[in-house]
Amino acid sequence: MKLLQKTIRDYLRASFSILAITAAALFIFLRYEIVEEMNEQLELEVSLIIKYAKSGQFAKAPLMEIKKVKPDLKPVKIFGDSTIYDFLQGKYEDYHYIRVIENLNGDLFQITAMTSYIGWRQFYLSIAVVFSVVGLLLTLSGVAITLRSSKQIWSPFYQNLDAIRGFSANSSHNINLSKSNIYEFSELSKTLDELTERCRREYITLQQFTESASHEIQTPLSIIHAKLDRISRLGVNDEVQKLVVEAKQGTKRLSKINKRLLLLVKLDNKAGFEKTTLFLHEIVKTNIDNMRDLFENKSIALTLTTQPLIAEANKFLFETMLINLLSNALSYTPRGKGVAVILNYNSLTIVNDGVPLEFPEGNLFNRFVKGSTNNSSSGLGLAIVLQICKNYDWLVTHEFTQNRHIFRVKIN
Amino acid sequence: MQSGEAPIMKLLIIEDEEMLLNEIKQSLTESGYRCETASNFSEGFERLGQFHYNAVIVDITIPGGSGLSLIKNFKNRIGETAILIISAKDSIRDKITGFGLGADDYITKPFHMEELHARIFALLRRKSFDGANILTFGELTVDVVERSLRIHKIKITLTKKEYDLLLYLVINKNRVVSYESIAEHLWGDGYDPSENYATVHVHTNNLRKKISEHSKTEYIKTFHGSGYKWLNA
Repeated sequence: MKLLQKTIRDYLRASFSILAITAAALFIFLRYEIVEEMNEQLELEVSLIIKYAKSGQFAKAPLMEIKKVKPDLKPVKIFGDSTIYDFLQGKYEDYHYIRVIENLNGDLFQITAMTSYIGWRQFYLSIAVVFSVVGLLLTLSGVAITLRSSKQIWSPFYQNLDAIRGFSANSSHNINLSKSNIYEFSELSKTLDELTERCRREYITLQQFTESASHEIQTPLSIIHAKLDRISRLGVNDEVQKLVVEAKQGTKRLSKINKRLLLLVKLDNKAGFEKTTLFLHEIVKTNIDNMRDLFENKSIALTLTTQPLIAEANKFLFETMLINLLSNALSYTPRGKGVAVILNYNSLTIVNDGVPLEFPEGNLFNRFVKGSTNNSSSGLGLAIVLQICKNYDWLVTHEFTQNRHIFRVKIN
Repeated sequence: MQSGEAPIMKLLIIEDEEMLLNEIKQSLTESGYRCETASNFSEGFERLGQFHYNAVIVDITIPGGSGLSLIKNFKNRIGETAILIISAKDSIRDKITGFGLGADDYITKPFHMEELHARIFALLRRKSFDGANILTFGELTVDVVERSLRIHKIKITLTKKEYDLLLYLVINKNRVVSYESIAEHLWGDGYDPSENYATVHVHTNNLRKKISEHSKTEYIKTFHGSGYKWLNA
């Protein structure tokens, strides 16, 4: 529920409750006053009648009755409501009466005096109508005023909300928040400004840390690598030579993992990878041509079907994604089987013969997941593919049917 | 790579890690380059200001400043000098900045020395047309512009990969070139290390076969389990 809806709802609830209570109070108060007034008037009338009767004059007046009653009754004074048929209007009308039993010159008389009043129902109705009109006017004007001022007051809020939605710690410039003369909103803007600036600073620190860490690792690796290279040139025997080569492979592998992790961090942070217009069919063809001999050497039949496809993306990232998918197919396709690469108007599909996954399919694109047949893999290739696809809102899927792995990247 | 007639190429290596600096220097000196070194920004600045080099190999992260700003400072003066950036960061931003400032190539740590030799050879050939375009080994002639191999003036048909492999071995003559370095040079990240460089062997054997059809000399020596070496005739 929006804040505005809630405040209006609360406002309406409060208004109607207040109006209902005041209407009821008004009704009770007025009714009390009117009854009191009528009673006074009727009492006065009756006392006049009695006064005249005591002097022997039994006045006759409309809406008044005086009659003799049995002597065993006790003198009383009661008030009550009744209806009388109004022959002019042809309907019953409400009346208020006083009935007094009084001893007049030794005889008991019952004196009844009546006065008309508007019926309580009409009374309710009038008050309800008046209050409804007041309520309606208050509501309409209240809602209109609230809506109008809210629109003004909240507009910087919504603008800021949009600005925050579009905010990325990775962006090179500060978030641009709208100013408001409302104290609370300007406080909020100030806090958000500070928060986003802190985010950006921390992000930059983190990025610098990651890069520095990578740097610090790569440099000693380079030294190890260069020294191993030197050892291998010292005329060592074959056994030592082999050990040196294996050690070099280890350092290369470590450095590759390091580089890939760094790329993943950059992709996670949506680091600015410059986009250009890419002719994907050409890039796919070039890379396949470059790797064709690797497939041939494993007696894997590699087929390529392409349609022209142009996309806005970063060349390095697209090539990395493509090479990772091709390397994956190369690693996990058994000798003598086939791989098909299909590029059509909106997707890149790589189909390779193979055995079912050894782990749940949901883990396929996770980091450091690899099949047991390829121990030297970093286990990061497909995680990078997923992350590159996410970077461009491309959808990457995998399915396994009829002993074939099908990787498909939907390119928007 | 220096052929007999070509003038000696002068290189400046700017790198703060002394152990690495020495390795690079020694390796390049062995290949016939004249190498000078600098291990920080001011030394590099001084040398670039005083002398002319055919190529500068510069690390981005050096004490006292950045390798990139060093290039920037001498951009106008070192127009004909080939610039190779070495960086520990495989940073696309650094690459773009580096190329924008006039760098010619970028190599990421850790690198194979063989790859460094290949890069420097390519850069020098591109920047200073001083005759390194034809490489001659006995009866073999490699034309780097035409990308061809001739034996006794007979043109040998090589595939693209075979030619790339040949040039890589030739540039690194008298060094053991590791299988891994060849694989990385030919396929980048695309090769699968689990296949034990079988494709490298296939290409090498094909190349050997094509050469042996016209020459009796054994140019490519195998070092089992490690790599190949081009023997200078």
